[in-house]
Amino acid sequence: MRAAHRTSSLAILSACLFLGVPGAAVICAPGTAIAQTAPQVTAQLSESEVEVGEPFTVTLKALSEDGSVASDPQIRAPSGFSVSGPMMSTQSYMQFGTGGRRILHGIGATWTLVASAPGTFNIPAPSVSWNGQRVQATPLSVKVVPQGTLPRRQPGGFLFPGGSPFNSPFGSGWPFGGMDDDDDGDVLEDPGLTLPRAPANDVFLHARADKKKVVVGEQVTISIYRYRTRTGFANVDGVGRPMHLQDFLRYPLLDDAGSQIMQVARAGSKKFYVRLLDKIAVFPLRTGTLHTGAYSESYIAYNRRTKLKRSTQDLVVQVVEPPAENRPLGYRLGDVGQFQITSLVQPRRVEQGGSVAVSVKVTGTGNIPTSLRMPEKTGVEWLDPEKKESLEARGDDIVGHRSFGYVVRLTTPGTVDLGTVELPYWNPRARRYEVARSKLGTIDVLPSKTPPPAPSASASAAPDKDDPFAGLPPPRTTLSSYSAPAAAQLLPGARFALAVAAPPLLALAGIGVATLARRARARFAGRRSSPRTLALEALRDAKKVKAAGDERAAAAAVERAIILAIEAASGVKARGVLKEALASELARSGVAEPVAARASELLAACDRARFDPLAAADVCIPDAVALVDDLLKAKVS
Amino acid sequence: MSRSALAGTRASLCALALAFVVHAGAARADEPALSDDALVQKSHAALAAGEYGSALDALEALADRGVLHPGLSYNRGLAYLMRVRASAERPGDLGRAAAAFEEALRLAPGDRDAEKALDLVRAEVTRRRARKGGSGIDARPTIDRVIAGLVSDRAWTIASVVASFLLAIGLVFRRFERPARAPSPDGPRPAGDAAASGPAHPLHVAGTVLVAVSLVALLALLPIAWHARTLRLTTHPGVIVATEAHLTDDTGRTLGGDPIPEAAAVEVGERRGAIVHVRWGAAEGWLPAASVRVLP
Repeated sequence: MRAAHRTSSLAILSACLFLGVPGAAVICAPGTAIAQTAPQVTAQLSESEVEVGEPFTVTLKALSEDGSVASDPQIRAPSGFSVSGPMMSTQSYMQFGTGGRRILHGIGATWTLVASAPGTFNIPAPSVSWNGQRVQATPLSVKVVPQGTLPRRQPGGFLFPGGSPFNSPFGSGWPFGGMDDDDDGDVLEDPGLTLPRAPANDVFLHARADKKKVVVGEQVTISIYRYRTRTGFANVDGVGRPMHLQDFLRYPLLDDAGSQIMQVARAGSKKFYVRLLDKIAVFPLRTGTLHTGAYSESYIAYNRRTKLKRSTQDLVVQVVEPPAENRPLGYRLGDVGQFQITSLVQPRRVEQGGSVAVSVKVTGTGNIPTSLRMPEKTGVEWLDPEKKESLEARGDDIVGHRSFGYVVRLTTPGTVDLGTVELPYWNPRARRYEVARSKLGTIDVLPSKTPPPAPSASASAAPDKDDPFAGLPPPRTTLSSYSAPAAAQLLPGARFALAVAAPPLLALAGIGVATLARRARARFAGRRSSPRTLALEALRDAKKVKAAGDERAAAAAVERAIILAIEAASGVKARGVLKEALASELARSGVAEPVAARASELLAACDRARFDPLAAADVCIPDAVALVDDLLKAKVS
Repeated sequence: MSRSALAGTRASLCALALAFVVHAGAARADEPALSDDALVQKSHAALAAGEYGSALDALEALADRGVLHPGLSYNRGLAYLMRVRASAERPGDLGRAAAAFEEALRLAPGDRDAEKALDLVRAEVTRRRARKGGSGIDARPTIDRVIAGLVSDRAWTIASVVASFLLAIGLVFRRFERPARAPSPDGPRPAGDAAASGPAHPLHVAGTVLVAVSLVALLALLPIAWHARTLRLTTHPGVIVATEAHLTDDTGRTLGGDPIPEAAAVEVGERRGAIVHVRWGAAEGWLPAASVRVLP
């Protein structure tokens, strides 16, 4: 029996290799007779016992010898189960038996189920539609146990939630043993993938751009890697969400994205298994700080309870214009790479108003332009081109060609030079501008018997009533000397406010200063003519004339000083008051009585000295000075 | 296939290959940068030969380099019109021509050729709009723009400063007081007696009038000058170089209203990335920067 089994297995393997159908397996279960007409429908559980919340799959296969088409696979899950899918596949099997060899064809459908409560559940038989009726498989039974009850399982395939749909009865992974991600026996560590630190300990994504600063249209190659530990996660949940790359043109560089050979690299101090998930060439469309967005994936953790979501970093690329220096005429932003131009013009002789075909092919590497600037001129009409392209990834470069097929109408007879088609571009490797050129040559345009109306190139042509610009003045062939007007603003910034505010403010300030000066002058003049000043001046005069021996003049001066001092002290004009009443008048005005009495006496002495020269000697200057001083102090007090 | 036909096919293929070889010059060389003078000469030669494509390359390169000359601007407008007349028109060519002629007029306000060309371009735009069923749109500027645009901001500035000086002079003149009179033998006259102070000094009268007039003028001129200066600093004249331009808000939502026609003169303000703030008559909003050509 065991030998028979081994023989059967070898036969299955050779059948798979012969058919070359990935994932093919052989069904050799006894008693599965295949009807000639209806397909054979089988259903299979990935696990007969699962935990609550643990995804498992139900795989349905509908196979027939005659290739009858079955469709619309359906499953009705028990209540409390969530179902996703089905994921469809085509199936081809070869069966060996005593009756000879049979080849079966059909479809496969895989659902992913998750139970929410423990218990034993019967899953009604999944079915397919065939020939207007539904053909059912057998019902299935699954036991659901509480979380954490079952031992940890080995992970399934990356891309198949709940495990590979191609599980065979000969054990997980067969016949592709040794392809498990965790098998790193032959995997070498790649120092180029080493990261200084790991953003997560189980699984994370990392994106890498080969350039951080480029010019508009220059290629940036982005590589996306998945780093995972041996126990990083169980399965990838769904399809990864790509980077948005909204400011870039993108081209894939990998045909087999996601199935690259796994490598080992360190992130921080930990070893990770690294797989290149995708590699894309992107071409920035504008200047600025452009963001690629993040690539993200979701995973189902080994504990089957949680989902992990991981994203790459949002790559930032600084995009600038290529240098303005030495920029050739007609350069358009984005034309970056290394290009050549070839052209073909046919025919070379045409009647006026006829057309020729001009085919221009741009080949090269980089951001091959999507349009060309053709040598436009009067009498040559370039119609919109028909474009063809063939671009492919070669290594990390996008190479290929774009062809532009123009129909050119010639409206002017004679030998018409079509000119040269030029493509200025920035060569990022040489870091300089280059120009790809191709001469288009000349066309002999034979005059037509009925020449079409050609648009005139200059205003010297006769005015055409259909041409709204027929009367335009001609171009300027010489340029007169011209100096651009001063662009600077008059009185920029705060100078304008200063210029407006300063004149009236200065005028007001000047007026204020003048007013103050005038008041000061008036105050000074008033002070000079005040009784106090005059009194002191009279005393000085008295001293002078006393010294000169003129006693009468000294007495008169003393009298004047006292009268002015009385006026300064009390406001009383002593000359208008009777001598007898002066003392009481002064006392009423607030002058101390002794001082008033002394003033009255000294005035009387002065009066006497006016008529009696001998009495003049009685007028004592120091007494007068003391009196004046007392009077003025009295005023102050 | 007969032998002669096969031979003919081979000959055609050979000729095709030869043609490719002959024209695949694939000339790949560094392009030395042309000087401004060389570009000017190149543009003249290209215009004379009707090669408007080359002429436009040269003239646009000169404009990019900041070379300003009314003649070059005028020629650029003509080159765009040449392309229109050669049935090779691209959307916005009429607007670009109008922008070039506007530029020529800004640089040389008395250029009659540019005036005529600009009128022709705008008339053609109107004719095309009418042909498409569009109505004529008259964008009237707001009163503040009308007043500020009566004269240049320099004129408003000078007028404001002059008014300020006159105010200062008036204030000074007002300080000239009435001539003093001999004191009356009857003693001081009562206050308010006009005869006491005599007739007012002529400069005092002049100062009083000057202060009143210049103060009013300053109060009127100052905000206008300020507004005109702000407009000059924060806005630029521009011309629409798209077939039509629909104003949007800064999030890109269309504001509604009439689209701005090609070749219309607009006032261009703030730029945010790829959009610019535009004022057309009393309407304002945002437009893609590529649909407006800002005049120097």
